[in-house]
Amino acid sequence: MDNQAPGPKTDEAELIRRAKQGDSRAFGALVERYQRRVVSVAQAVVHNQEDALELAQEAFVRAYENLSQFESRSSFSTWLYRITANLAIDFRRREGRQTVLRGEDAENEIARLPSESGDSFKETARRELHQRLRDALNQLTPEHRTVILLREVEGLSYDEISDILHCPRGTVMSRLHYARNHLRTILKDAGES
Amino acid sequence: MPACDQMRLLLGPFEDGELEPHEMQDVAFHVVSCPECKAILKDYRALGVALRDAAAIPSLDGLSEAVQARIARVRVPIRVRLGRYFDSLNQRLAAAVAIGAAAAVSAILTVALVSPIARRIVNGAAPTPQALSAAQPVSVPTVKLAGTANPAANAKAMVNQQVDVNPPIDAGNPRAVISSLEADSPSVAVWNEPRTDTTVIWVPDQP
Repeated sequence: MDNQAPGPKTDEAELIRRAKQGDSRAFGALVERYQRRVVSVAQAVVHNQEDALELAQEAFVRAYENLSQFESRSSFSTWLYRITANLAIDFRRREGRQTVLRGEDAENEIARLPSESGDSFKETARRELHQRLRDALNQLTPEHRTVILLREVEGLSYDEISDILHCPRGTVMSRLHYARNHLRTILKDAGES
Repeated sequence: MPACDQMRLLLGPFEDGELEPHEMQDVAFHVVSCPECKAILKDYRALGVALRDAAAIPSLDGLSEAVQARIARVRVPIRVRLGRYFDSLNQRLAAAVAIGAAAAVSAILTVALVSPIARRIVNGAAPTPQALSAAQPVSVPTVKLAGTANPAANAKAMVNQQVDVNPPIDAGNPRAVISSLEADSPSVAVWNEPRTDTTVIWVPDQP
């Protein structure tokens, strides 16, 4: 259900039309359809799961309140992601541009502990790589981290990222270039040490 | 060969499929012959795979219900509620107009199609089978119209013409329709038009 792929556009248009007329069940179907992606976009910006969930909830409520302003000429998903990204960017600014890691350190420590059944060498190596990646992502600026996560994890195109983050396509390209090289260097250094 | 520095700027967009076709081709050719750029591209791919693998999406259980609960408490502004009301009203109005227009078109078509018969009913008796068949355009045989200055020319002009039964007969008008023949002779036809009090005598062309 969470990973439900968007269905036909005609079906979506009908759901949007009904939701515009106040049908909350139709809007609920849209929530089901896009919740995973909305949480991912929020998480790409704030880099914290709890905050991402809160922001996703807020984004859906804002979308419902402003549904009458949505014009069907543009993509509903892009419109929704833009609302989410705006909320997340505002949140990040309020938090002083610092990465919020409430509870995440403890969670990571728990994840490091071997399971009762015993971990294979491959699984341990995979976990270590994930941890190094998280550390490397935390060293990036929020702008660079957001762009690379939207591209690599969410698979958004440069134009979509540019639209959602309100920045030129050239900026998306340069941020991606910097983020990739930075992560590559960090990971290589960590691997060598 | 283009400098590696220039090419390296394009490796990421190449991996993402965001370059123009000719740029994609240039990068592909370069990567084949440049081990360093090839290694960087390989690292980019591995990085993408690792990021996707490491992406931990939190459990979404209850998110949809929480959104629904908050939406239920949302007090929609009066402006939006009015907008929704008028939107639905507009849709109903548009449907009513469409149905009305369709009914009007049907009525006009019906009147137009039955009007020749209706006119006959109003003017006289019920339509006869001959009158019904006369409502269709007919081909008039080659005839001479009595009383005209140049019957041969008139007759020629009438060959294979399609004429309407309704217009009243004018002795000077070569266009006419025979609604009934009053003589059995194959060489002469006599026809009376009671509305204009006209008698027409039709004589076929003589060879």
